[in-house]
Amino acid sequence: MNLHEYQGKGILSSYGISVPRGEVASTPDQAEKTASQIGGTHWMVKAQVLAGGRARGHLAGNEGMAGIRRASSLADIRSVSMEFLGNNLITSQTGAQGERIEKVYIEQALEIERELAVAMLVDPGTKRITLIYTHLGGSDIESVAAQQPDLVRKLDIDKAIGPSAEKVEKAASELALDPGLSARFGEIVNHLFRFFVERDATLVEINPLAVRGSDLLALDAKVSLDENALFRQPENRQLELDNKIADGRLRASWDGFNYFRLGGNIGCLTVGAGLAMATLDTIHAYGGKPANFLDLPPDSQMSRTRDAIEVILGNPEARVLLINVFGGGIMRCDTIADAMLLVKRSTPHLPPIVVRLAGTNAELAIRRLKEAMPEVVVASNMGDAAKFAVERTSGEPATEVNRQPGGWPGRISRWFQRACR
Amino acid sequence: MSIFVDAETRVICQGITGIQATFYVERAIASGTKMVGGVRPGKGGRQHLDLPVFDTVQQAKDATGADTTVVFVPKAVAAAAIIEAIEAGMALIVCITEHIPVLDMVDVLQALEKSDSKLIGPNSPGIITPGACRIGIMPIEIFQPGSVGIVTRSSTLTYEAVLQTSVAGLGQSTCIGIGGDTVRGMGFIDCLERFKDDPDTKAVLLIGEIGGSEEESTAEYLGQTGYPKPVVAYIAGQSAMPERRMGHASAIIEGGTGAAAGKIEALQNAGVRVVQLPLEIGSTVASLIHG
Repeated sequence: MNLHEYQGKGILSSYGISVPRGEVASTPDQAEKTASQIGGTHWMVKAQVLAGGRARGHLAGNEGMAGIRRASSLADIRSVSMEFLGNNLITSQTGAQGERIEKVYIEQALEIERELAVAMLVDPGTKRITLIYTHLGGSDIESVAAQQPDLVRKLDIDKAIGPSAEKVEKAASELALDPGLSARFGEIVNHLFRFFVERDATLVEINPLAVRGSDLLALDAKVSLDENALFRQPENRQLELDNKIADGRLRASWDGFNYFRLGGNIGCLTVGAGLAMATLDTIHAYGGKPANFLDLPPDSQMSRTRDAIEVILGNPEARVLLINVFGGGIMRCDTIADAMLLVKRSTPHLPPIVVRLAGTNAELAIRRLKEAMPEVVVASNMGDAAKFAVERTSGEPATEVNRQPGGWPGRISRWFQRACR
Repeated sequence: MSIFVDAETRVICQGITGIQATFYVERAIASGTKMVGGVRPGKGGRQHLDLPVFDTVQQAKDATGADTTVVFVPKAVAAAAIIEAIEAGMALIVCITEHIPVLDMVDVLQALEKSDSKLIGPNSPGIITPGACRIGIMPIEIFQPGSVGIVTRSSTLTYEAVLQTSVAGLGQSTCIGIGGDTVRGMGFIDCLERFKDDPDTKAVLLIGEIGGSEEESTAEYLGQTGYPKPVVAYIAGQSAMPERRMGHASAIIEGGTGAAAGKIEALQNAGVRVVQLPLEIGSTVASLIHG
């Protein structure tokens, strides 16, 4: 669960990490008022979207307008905010459509001496909390890490003990910090660690961490919190509520399943993330385009399954519904069939439906479907199911055409990076 | 033969009185698994499913001689349950519970490092040696004793793979769901290492996914050891484009791993037969075994 910059900075600042003065605004009026309260003569106007690369991104329909702008007057603040708010920002991390800007962050613009970067996360290799640091902060950090890996250092932390003073001191000297800044750096690492553990973070990334006089300031903040720990983090849960996202993901995650639209026309219902991925791969192989990714957890009952089908059909681009379920564990195929019957009762015009059911109670489910919904096409394996679904969108026989990777937009594998998501 | 579990494995269940645990322990017993007891703090001394219930893992182990535990404890206290099992010296711990907070698992891994216990999971569908021992939530109907060792990061895709090896008449020696979480116990390599020396395993099937670096490090291991048995793999998510990320740190720490194409290339270079569609799993394994 990712936080906006303004939310991340708010939390970091409450943990003792310095940030420039700033406020969030959702209208141009508010933005202007906020800037005059902050004072000074120069400000940064920063689009609040849940993606990086904002300074190098651009607004939809305006190639010249990046997501972070410097403003030198209140009139500037107003005009930039007007352009930002309600528009989409496209960056290397958003996908082609970009992310809608609902809020802007107005911040004092500061002169700085140099840019470092630090991040804390759980290293999937060592399975320990790890601090990453480099004296080359800025947006090129990934290519720096790829080309000169020794310029990006790692420091692992024993969760029971906290950051080792010795290792942190060594890091500070590698960053060429003078004694005063070195002490401040040590404090910041400790603050970050305390924040990370107390708030169940999975990622905190400060890039750049700017040197300014005797202090180090977080000029940006990317924070991700652990969705699995929301049960013991009421404040995190509140932040999640605040970040409603318009594309149907909120309702979907409330109902306990992961859902993304993918831009194609075959609506997909599967149980379990792995089978969901395999189904998309198979559709792709037959030249089809999935309308969505939906991973229904195996413990779903009939009502949640019905909700999932309704969310899929709520996408006007979904012209066929493909259901591929391998019953097992707690999931029984008859639950799927019963949910389909419920949907049929409440939805007058259903698109063509192709089902492949296997495993626990598959025969019972198929018998039930054949009786009550004879129009449903029953496939005996995943390949046939994908093929039939593709045929019903194109009206032509489908063959296996596509063995090259790269069919549908990203956003999926995020769900598989459980700790880093 | 088999790996990790066989007909002699003595199993207890932590959280045995819960609904899911009850359902699956009943099925494990019916499949012939040596279930010898359960743990539920506060309910020690009772009987559940005709098995003795204990307050602690240590008591259960001392009284029953159990060497293996399956954890069905709710996520908020699951990590504590695993650590209790580690401290009691259980040889094998299988954690079915999913959605355990990452930082809890960091604690578990630190405890595990100092012990001889092996952990499967969390978020594991379990481990099955067909005809001998069934631990977890996998549907037994699709299994049959045989010669394919299966290790998988994805629960539901496991069933697909198992069914295909059964239909192909090969069956399974042992099937292990290692779970898809980033911070977890055993990985592909730990299982491959055991399958290597298991005379009943004629080929190993790996089911991977995009994300993380498990497949890449497995390829390195296979290449370095000159693995003596045929290995087949399927990586779910081949048609996915590179993922959308938040920031740069995760990309840096993974050092360019994670995408399907890189995983497939690495595995192929290590001599693994990578199938492109899940439908091809059964026939591909069969062709390698029968030559």
